[in-house]
Amino acid sequence: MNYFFQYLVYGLQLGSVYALLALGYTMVYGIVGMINFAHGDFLMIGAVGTYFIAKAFEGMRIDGTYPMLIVGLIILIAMTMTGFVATGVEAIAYRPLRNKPRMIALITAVGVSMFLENFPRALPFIGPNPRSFPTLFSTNVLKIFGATVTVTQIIMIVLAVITMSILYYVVNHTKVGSQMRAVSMDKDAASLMGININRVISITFFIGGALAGISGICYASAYPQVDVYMGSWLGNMSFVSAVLGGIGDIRGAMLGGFILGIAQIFATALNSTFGYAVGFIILIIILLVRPAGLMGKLVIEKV
Amino acid sequence: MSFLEITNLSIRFGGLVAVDDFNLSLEKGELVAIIGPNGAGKTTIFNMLTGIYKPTTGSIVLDGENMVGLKPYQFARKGITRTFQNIRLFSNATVADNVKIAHTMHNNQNLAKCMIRTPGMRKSEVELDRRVIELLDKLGLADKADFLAKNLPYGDQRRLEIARALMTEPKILLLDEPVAGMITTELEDMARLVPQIRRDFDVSIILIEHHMNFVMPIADRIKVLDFGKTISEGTPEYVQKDPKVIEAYLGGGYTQNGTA
Amino acid sequence: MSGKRIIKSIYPALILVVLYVVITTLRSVKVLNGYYIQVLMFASINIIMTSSLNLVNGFTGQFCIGHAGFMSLGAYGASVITSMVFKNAPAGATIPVYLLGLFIGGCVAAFFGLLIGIPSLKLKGDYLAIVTLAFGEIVRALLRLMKPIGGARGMIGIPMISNLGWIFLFLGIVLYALRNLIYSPFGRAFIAIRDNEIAADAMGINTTFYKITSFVIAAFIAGLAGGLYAHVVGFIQPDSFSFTKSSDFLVYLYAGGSGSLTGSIVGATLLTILPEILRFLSEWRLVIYAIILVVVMIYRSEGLVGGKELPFLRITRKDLYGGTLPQASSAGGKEET
Repeated sequence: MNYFFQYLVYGLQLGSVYALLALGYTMVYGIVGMINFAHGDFLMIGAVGTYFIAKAFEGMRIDGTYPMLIVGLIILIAMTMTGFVATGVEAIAYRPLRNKPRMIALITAVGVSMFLENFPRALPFIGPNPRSFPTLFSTNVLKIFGATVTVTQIIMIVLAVITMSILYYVVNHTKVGSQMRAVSMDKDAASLMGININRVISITFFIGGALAGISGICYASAYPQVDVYMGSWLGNMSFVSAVLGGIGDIRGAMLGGFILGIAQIFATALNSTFGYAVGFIILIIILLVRPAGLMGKLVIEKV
Repeated sequence: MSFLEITNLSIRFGGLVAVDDFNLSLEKGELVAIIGPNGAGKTTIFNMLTGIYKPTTGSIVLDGENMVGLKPYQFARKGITRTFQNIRLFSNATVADNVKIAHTMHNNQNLAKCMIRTPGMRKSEVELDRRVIELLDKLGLADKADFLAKNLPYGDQRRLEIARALMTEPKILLLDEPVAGMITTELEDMARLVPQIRRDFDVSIILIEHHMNFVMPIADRIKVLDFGKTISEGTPEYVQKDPKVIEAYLGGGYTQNGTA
Repeated sequence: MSGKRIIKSIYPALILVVLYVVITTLRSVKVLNGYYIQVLMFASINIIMTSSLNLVNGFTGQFCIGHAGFMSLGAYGASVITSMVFKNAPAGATIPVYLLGLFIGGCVAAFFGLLIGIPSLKLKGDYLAIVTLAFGEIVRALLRLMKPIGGARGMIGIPMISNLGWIFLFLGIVLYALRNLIYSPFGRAFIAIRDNEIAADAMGINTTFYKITSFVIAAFIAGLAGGLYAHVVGFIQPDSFSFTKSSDFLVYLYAGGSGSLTGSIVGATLLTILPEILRFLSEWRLVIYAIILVVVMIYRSEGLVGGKELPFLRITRKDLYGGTLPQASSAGGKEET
């Protein structure tokens, strides 16, 4: 039973990383209809970026730990940075391809991903070697139901849940959110209604990038090692989460992320390779039962 | 029993009854038109007659064989093919290939023969090509055989849809608004072509159309649909004078020779 | 007339033979070293991979993004035959065992192609894509777990039998078979499904059957390429066939131009050689490669070749009649002179 809760906490923590990242995938898919394979790399930029930002604030540490206010500032800077990187990528690489076949955008995304990984790798002050991520949060340990839970873990899970709630509110109850939903349903009609499509898409990428930035911090706080390639497999796993939940659906992305994170932790306890594959196995089973994912609706072509 | 016997055909989408109790007996070589305003359920009937939708109740019997529950490609194999109201050509294939594709189900060259391209396979390809050109010739498209379908003018695309459907060697041909969007001269061509196809290819035809001038001279019988229900049927002359049709479908102030 | 026809039908093969002779001559006079030869072998294997992927993605309009999975199955299948089952075969049997291995590798991959084809009954577009990705990753995980064939550390000591001659031979056969297939009732059915699945169905085409056929053929060819690859490098491990590898083939396919075999040849060749040319840039190599890729996709979205096809990779209506079309009005009659 102790183990169960212990794994559940780990699962929730990993799940919150996947969920945050899957949200970006799903929002971009919902709005532009493209699979952004570079999305995982935004996580990497968030994590690696935070490493350097934290370094810049090193002088402000008190007794070797960062004060809460500074941590908040670091997170905010990192989120803004990944948000702008995502918006920039969209404007430079994806916007010219908006009316082209979707595979073309996907291949471009593969190219962008390659660039985002290899550019920092080629920069002398970053390079290919892994670095250990600084401790941003309290390392105090609590005992809950016999499981060992760090304060960091609690903060991470709570942070993820709060972020997702804010996003859900923004999409469903604000003007920008309703514009986003309009663009995702019909770009031409939305444009005729006076919505600035480019602006809405930029905002979507900014939000997606910022969420990827937070997920990078969450991940690196749990597994404190960062390198330029860390984004690609995390990206794949959260893409799986998004599809699992029904791609294009925000609740689906969150649900898929947590299911995958928890399943993966429990499966890894048995065997690490199995832990990696379990997500894909769950995915195939779910798609065979529900071809459009848990929350997705099948679109039937009108004849 | 008729050649094609459609009995009590109904389909429901959620609470909406799109087609209610549709009946039709079609004889060999007959040309029946279905008319009615937009949303009357005409295309829905075609979708049921080609297996795209499965009717909620009712039966479709072709030549004594029940068709309900078959897949679309099986309908084509049993001898019912259609054209589409919103043109659905294989747009990146040539005109000739569009028609050849409709012959796939009669293909008797297996995978290995095709990969090796045996002399027998080559011969069958030449024969097929000759047949396709012959067919295209009848529809006035032979000189455009090597064009890409997407580069054809609109009227030619409609005729190519018909050529393609004929290549499946159908017993019954369903034409879904064959003159929609056509200009007058194209429309006149089509009015000559449809009866000619019926003669030359020995097919029965069911036709959906809005255009009254087009339908009246060529149809043997007309069925009028409104909100999924058949409100009138009979010869063109009868239907044209039926007060129910004039009131419910044609609306007030409609003249006999106008268009809907 | 018939002599011309024979030359026309074999000259593509002649191109490969001439190319082979030129390359081996250059090799023997030491203009080309072993490294160049190896790059050429990889380029040829990548052409085989890319054109098989083209069959599924470019011609049938499906969406496979886990093609390296089939390659790994072929590589392992072939290697198990040559370096485990027939490990102690007599020297004279090396080549037959090698060919048997390649065939078995192709069959293993084709079998899994059939398995993965079945979900395509229900799934469309992106959902099918993610299933193929998942498939590739599950295969990789399974291979890692299989200790008798090396587990995560892979198989070593595979006989390095594949040379440029063998690879060119199979490249020629694959391209010839694929061209013939594409210009046959099968290929036309694939293209019909790509262009308009509903219309294909309405014209009597059993779309499920043809989609699965396309998957199985592509998987077989990818398995064959995997077998060739394993016997070039002599060492394989599950992680060589990850999603990154699959995305390489996607990049070759779409950068070259999908729906054209010429595109696959150009894409795979150029993009296999490009990183080698860029080697002098050391760590900036992949950055420049990525930029070139993105620029190509933005400014030439239809691919470098853009749907065009070399004359010997297509069969026009003229070719059916040996070069001259019969007159339209007398179709079925005499040929025009």
